[in-house]
Amino acid sequence: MAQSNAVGFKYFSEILGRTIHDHSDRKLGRVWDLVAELPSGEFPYPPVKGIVLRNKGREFYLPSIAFSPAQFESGELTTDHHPEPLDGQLSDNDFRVREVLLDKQIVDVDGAKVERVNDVHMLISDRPWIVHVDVGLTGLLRRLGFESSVRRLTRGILRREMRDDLVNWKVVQPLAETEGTGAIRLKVEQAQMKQLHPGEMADILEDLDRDEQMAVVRTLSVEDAADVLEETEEDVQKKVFSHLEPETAADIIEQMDPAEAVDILSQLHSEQSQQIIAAMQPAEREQIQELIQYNERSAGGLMTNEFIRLHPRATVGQALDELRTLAGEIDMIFYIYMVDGAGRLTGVVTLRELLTSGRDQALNKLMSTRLVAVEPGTSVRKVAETFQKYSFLACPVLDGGGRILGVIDLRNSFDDLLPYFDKDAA
Amino acid sequence: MLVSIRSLISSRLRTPLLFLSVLGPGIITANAGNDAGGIATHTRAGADFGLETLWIFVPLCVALIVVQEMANRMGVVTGKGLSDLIRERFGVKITFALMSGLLLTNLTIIAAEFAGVAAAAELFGIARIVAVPIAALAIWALVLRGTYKTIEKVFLAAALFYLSYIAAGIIVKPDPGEVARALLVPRILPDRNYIVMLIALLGTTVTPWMLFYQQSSVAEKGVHIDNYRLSKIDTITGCIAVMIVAVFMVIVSSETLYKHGISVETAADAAKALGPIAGKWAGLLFAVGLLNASLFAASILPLSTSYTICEGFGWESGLSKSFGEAKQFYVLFTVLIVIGAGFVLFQSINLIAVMYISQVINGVVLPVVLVFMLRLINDPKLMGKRVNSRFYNWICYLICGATALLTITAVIMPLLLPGDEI
Repeated sequence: MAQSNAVGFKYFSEILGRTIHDHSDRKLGRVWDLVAELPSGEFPYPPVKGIVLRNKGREFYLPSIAFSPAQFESGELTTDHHPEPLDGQLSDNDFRVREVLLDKQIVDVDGAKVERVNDVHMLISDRPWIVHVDVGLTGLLRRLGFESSVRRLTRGILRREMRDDLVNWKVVQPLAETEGTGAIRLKVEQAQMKQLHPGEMADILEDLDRDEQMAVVRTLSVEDAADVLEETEEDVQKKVFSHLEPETAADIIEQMDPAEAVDILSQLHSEQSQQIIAAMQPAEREQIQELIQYNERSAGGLMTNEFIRLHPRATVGQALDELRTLAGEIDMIFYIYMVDGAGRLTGVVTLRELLTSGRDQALNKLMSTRLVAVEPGTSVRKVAETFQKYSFLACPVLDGGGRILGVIDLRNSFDDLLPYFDKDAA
Repeated sequence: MLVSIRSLISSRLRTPLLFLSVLGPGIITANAGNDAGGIATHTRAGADFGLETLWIFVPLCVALIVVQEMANRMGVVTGKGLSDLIRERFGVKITFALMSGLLLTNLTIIAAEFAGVAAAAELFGIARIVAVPIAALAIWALVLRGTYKTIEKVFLAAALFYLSYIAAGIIVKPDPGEVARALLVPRILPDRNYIVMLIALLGTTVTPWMLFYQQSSVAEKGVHIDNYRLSKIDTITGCIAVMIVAVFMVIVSSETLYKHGISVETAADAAKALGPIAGKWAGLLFAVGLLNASLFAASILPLSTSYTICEGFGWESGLSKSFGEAKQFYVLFTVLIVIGAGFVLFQSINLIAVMYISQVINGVVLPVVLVFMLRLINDPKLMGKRVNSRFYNWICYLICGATALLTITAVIMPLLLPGDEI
């Protein structure tokens, strides 16, 4: 369809501010903005529907069919169409290019980066289509009117051609303000954002300003938001959670590993964390309250109370069934902890042992009883040394009476422990 | 649960008082304003005119509070830096022009800070060729290796040092009645140099970079709108504190230098002159104070400038990024320190001229920045119901007008009256 009679490319900045005339050479106004339509169907690029022109401080609208592709390409905009008032010309699916894109931030979903848009690159075909956004230095220079001189300079002196930095519209996620007329909703290409790895998404989140962070977080499901926020820097976590409604914050916190959740809650003002905790489900709330009493710089502060515990008389089959039902919610599934009626830890069975044993085997026959554990007050340094010495994936935390309080998951505590790992001791 | 939620949480709370977590940007920004140029100007004001300039600090304090509060409010409400907002609203050309102006002003101010380091070092008998590169390297390392939190703590601790000026001001025993009269009764001396001094005091108190810095550090801190009142208190406290310190600087210098008829050209002269009159501790205090203030501002200015410019052009910025991720940011930061410090190493460069030029550019850029701020802060799309009140706007117009007028006067006066020292 559109590609068949492609005639060339044009940057928005090259027509921005140009005067539009009618055929009797009367000035109709200057190009102020473009109106584009969100892509639908298989062709993924937004067509430019019309031009917003400005004349004596008022805005008018000219549909792009008022100009031939050749006119767009040359920038000589002359038309017989009469400009109409802008009101009522924009439908819900339209957006204003300048308002939404130019000088604003976008997410490049492909490069997992946040960029500022310097220019918009159009393919001129049956009409203009937005195909790229320019986020590079050349775009910046072009807008400032220095492009050709700087190009000549680098060509002459450095013998190098300056390269454009264009991002394909297909991987662009505009981040317009939540209010404002050109409300291009984040929902539009949400699916693309979801494909990002939580870690990449976290990086992006760190680059956004607060409103954008909030907008992105709100488009995510509660589970995804929890995954992403677990990965972001402390100050971003703090910002996001202190600006979310307590109910939403509580929903997200509930999805997190309790140890991580407690870390976040303890960064917030007491009033805010109290509101969030109060809005949580009773079971999760209890877990958090259990953990929040421990010093952050101790084993208690690192531990989570989500782990799998069974009575030693249970069988392998029961353990596997239990694992199957819980594995979705619990991070630490590599060890099953044997706990007697009084809550004392009596042994540990590994996932490997479970998988290689018969279903009827009793766990107390399999379990290892040589237990290594720490106490909640144990220092982080000591915890790191324990992990290094015994090289396991999780370490149980016991109180003075040998009752299990929680486990420290190496992967979740890695950042806290890392400074204490000793290269030579390994 | 045996223990109530409230006590559980407070036991884990790192910041026992809400205020302390909001505190910082205002106090740091305002105190960084009391930099090498500030000390030099305030000391000269006292040495040359006694207490006669004190009354200007009252309107200056109001002006400072008004503009800093605006930057603060925009930071809290929008969560964005000022250059971000200017780029998004006014486009790339205006941003470029404004950023160029800001870069130029800030560069001259950075040079002035290193001039302060050089002067302070020379008072301790250390050659500037040794002291300035060490200071530059130390600043560079502190800022690049430290985290925002540690740096903020260092800055807050450095800000405490300004209290020593208040102590010195009490030791020299000024007449309280005289001070009160000088503060509250405006009186303009029919003296060209006096007018120029008023301009210099305005120039050293309200600067464009402070507005950018205040707004981005508040945005960076992510202060919640519910805590805006506290953040506002932080800003106002900072402004008042800095003005009190400035007033005490003038008092000290008036009681010692002016009363003995000693005029000073540089901050170093002032320290030397203070020695015999007020005891050797006064001179030492002055030198340490100057060093502290210079280092303090010489750390903040390059950092804030790099942030501001990268924000405006959409380049990656921030100390949490690696060099590869945020090249422009690190290059800018380094270049600003290298040029700023490098300037001072050339003995032939007239540092007074550098400071003078920086104040002129400052005076030109400030009203422009204020006009952009006014347009942004009065936009309900951006600020909701937290737009400026009409009264507030009028104060701002007054500040814009006064700055512009004074700047024009400052630029024209030396041209009309050649041979007069600034």
